[in-house]
This record gives sequence, C-alpha cells and structure tokens, in this order.
Amino acid sequence: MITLTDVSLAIDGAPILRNVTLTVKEGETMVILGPSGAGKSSILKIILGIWKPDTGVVRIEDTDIVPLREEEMLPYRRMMGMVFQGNALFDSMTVRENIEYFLREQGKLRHGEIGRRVAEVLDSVNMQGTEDMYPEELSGGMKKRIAIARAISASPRMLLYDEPTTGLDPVNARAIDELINRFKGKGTTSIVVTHILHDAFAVGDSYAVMSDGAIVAAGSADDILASEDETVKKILEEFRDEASLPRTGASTVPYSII
Amino acid sequence: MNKLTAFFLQFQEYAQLAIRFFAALKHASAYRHELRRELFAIGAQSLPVVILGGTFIGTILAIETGHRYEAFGAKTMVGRTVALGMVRELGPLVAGLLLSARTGAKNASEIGAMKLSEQVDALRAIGSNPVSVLVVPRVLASVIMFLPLTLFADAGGMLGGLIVADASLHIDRAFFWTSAIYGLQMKDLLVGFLKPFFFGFFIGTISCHFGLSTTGGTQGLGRATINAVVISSLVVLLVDFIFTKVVWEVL
Repeated sequence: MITLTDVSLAIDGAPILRNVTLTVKEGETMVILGPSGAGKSSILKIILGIWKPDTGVVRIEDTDIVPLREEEMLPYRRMMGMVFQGNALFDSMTVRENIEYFLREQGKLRHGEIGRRVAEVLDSVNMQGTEDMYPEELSGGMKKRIAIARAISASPRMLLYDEPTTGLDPVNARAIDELINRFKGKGTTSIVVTHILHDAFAVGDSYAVMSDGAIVAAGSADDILASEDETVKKILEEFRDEASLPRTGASTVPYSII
Repeated sequence: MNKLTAFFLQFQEYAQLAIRFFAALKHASAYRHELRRELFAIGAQSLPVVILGGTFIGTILAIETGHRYEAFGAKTMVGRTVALGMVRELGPLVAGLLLSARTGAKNASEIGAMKLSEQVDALRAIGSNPVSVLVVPRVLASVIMFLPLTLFADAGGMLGGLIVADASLHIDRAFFWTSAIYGLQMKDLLVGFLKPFFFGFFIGTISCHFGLSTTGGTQGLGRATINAVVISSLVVLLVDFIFTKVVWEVL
C-alpha cells in the first residue's frame, strides 16, 4: 500500500504540490489525472524517493520513507518499477544490456538466470528479436514497451507509470493500455500518471484529479465523471465525450510496425 | 538569487560531488566495464590531438627562442629550452587545455543529456548510485590517463623542436637531444609529472558536476557544456600557477 499524507513541495519558491493526500490500496491501479504542470510526475518521484517533500508523510508498506537516506531507500526502490515519461533507456546500451543492467543492480537473480529473464520479459511485451538493437533504432512505441519490460523485469510489487501513452498514436496507446492491464491482473499495485482521459479510464481502478499541485477530486470513474467541482468539470469538459467511450479489444498490430 | 550566492551554491554542490566521489571509490571495481570504456575514450582517442598540440607548441617554442638566441650566439640552448619548457610547463598545460575542451565537453554533454532524458533518475530508481556509475569511472580515467598523455605531449613538443632545430636553425640532432636531456633535472620531471594528476582530477570532477547540474533543455545542455570547458580550463591555469609558485618557493 502507498499512502501520501499532507505532502507539499516547492522548488525555487514555486509550489509544486500542496497538501496532497492519497492512498493506493494493495493490488489497485490508481490513475492520477490532470493537465501538464499539475504536479503529477512529482508525486511519482517522491514515492521513488528521488525527491523529498518539504512537509508530509509518504508511507510505503507502513514505513515513512521521507526521512530515509539514499542507501536506506534501496529496499523500497527495489519493490518498485518505474516507466519514465521519456522512457529513460540507457542509450549507450542495447535493449538486452538495458534490462540486464537493471537486473544486475537489483541483485535478485544469478548470472545464468538473467539471460532467461530478459527473454521472458521481452516476450511478454511482444518485443522478441530486439535484444541487440540500441534505443535510437527503436520507434516511440517500441521504446515504451522496452521501458515497461525493464520496469517489470525484477517482478516489482509496485509499478509507476509516468505518462505511458503520451506522444504515441492511438494504436500504440491502446497496446500500452493493454500491457498495463495485463500486469495489473498479476496483483501489482500501480500508479498511472496521465493527462489523457481515454487511457486513464481504460486502466484505472481509482482516480485522483490534480490541478495546480492539489488533488481536487478522488474516487471511482463514476465519481470523477459525475463531479460537480468546477475545476474537475473544466478539466474533464474537453474530453468528456471521448472518456465515455473506453477502448476495448486486443491489439492485433504486430510490434514491428509499432 | 544574486550571482555571488549562485557561485557559492555551485561551489558547495561541486565540493559535495568531490566528497561523494571519494566515498564512492570503494565501489569502483564494480564498474570496471565503464572504466575501461572511459580509459579508451579519454586516453587512446585523445592521443592524436595531444601529440599534434604538443608538436606544434614545440616547433613554435624552438622558432621563437632559436632566432632570438641566434642573435647573441646561443642557439645551442634551444634543445635545453624546449625540453625544460615542454616538461615543466607547456606539455602539461597543452594536454590540460586540450583535454579540458575534449574531455570536459564529452563528460558534461553525455551526463547532461542523461540528466535531461531522466536516465540519471532511472539509475537512482533502480538503486544505482549515479556518482559510482557516471562520475567515478570518468574521473578515475582522467587521473590515470593524464600522465601518459602529458608524456606524449612532451615527446611531441621535443620532436617538433628537433625538426625546427635541424631544418631551420641547423643544430645537430644529437647535440639537440644531448642538451635537451642533460638540461632536465629531477625536480623538473617531478613538477611536470605531478601536475597531470591534479589536472585530471579537476577536469573530471568539474565537467561531471556541470553535467549532473544540467537543467533547461537543449539550451541548458549547451550552457553546461560551455561552463564545463571554460571553468575546467581556467582551473587548469590556476592550478598550474599555484604549482609553479609553490615549486619556485619550496624546491
């Protein structure tokens, strides 16, 4: 379980987060929605311990991680997999090396098992055959799949997705949504940060809407869509028609054209 | 924030990085692969430019001093002057300035690009220490490779001086070498061979610091790269001045 209580953060005097309180239950997928610059990605960086909030409590499995030093954060970071907005694949390494490096640093598998695990996770995101390619040789959708493969490779209990479908065409976005739903089914606790309502409603169990660093609404999809809060209505207005039509059906697009 | 405050904040961050570099040294063996790659990039790949730079400086030194010495019949001093000038001062300085540009730009732009594309955050997210992975191999490679590169710059300079002495000043080659070698004392070698370790450390840490503090997209990356090259070049000159001053007063 992940709990944030009254978390605030300012950078160079500019408030980024204001008294953010939210709870993500075990096995749940929470979607944090909101326009760009609302502070959504900052929440993920605080949960990972990369950023420290100015005030507030961040609990991972009942432990407040805010006062922890870098080395004390390691066991908690090793429970998590993060898919960064720009993928953050190491561009000096091949796809195989990217995942191997991650697994070596995690230290959970022996040398012989690492190669097998790399093949397994690439297979699970339908990216077999790309092992020796460099990130620059991959398309946006392929990079995102590799980033997901890297994040899930050490079987994390929590997955954090930062704008997983931003910049992708609708076909690729749907394929990524399906991957998120597939890993959700394995009991992983997930947080998906997005500003695209269509994708949000395709993957979420619960929702939080953010504006100007604060959570302005939280609850189920129905609660959010029925919200009478002016800010929430304004954020949803533009996408309301699209949001009421969740995508269904499996992607049939081969990975090679993604 | 005024410029003075910004300068002290930068300096504080740099000092923290330098301390973290020493603390992370104990994990250096875990990143042998990265160290090998940096040794090749900083050492072997810098060799041609350092040899060429040293050779040009040696020829210039021989031409400038040779024609002046000739006026009062002392052109045989050219070998000694070139050797002393290259080994004590110009060899380390040429290598230092060329590597400030080459290695400084490389480190700052590579690490800066990784910072902007969240690769540095990704390292932390998987439990790696970015200082161990990115800074230690680069600074160690700078410190290790700087002395051999300086020796090549010295050798290039002496060779350049020899070519000018032979072709333009008509000094016997054997005489040039003899006067060059016998003109050097142990303290000259000590000074010339100690400086590179300091230059390597400062160039490595300063350029990594600017890389890690990159913000503001491509413009910010450009600014970080320029700062890395300019500041590390100035620090090379400052360290050289301090070294020279201390050596003249102590030795």
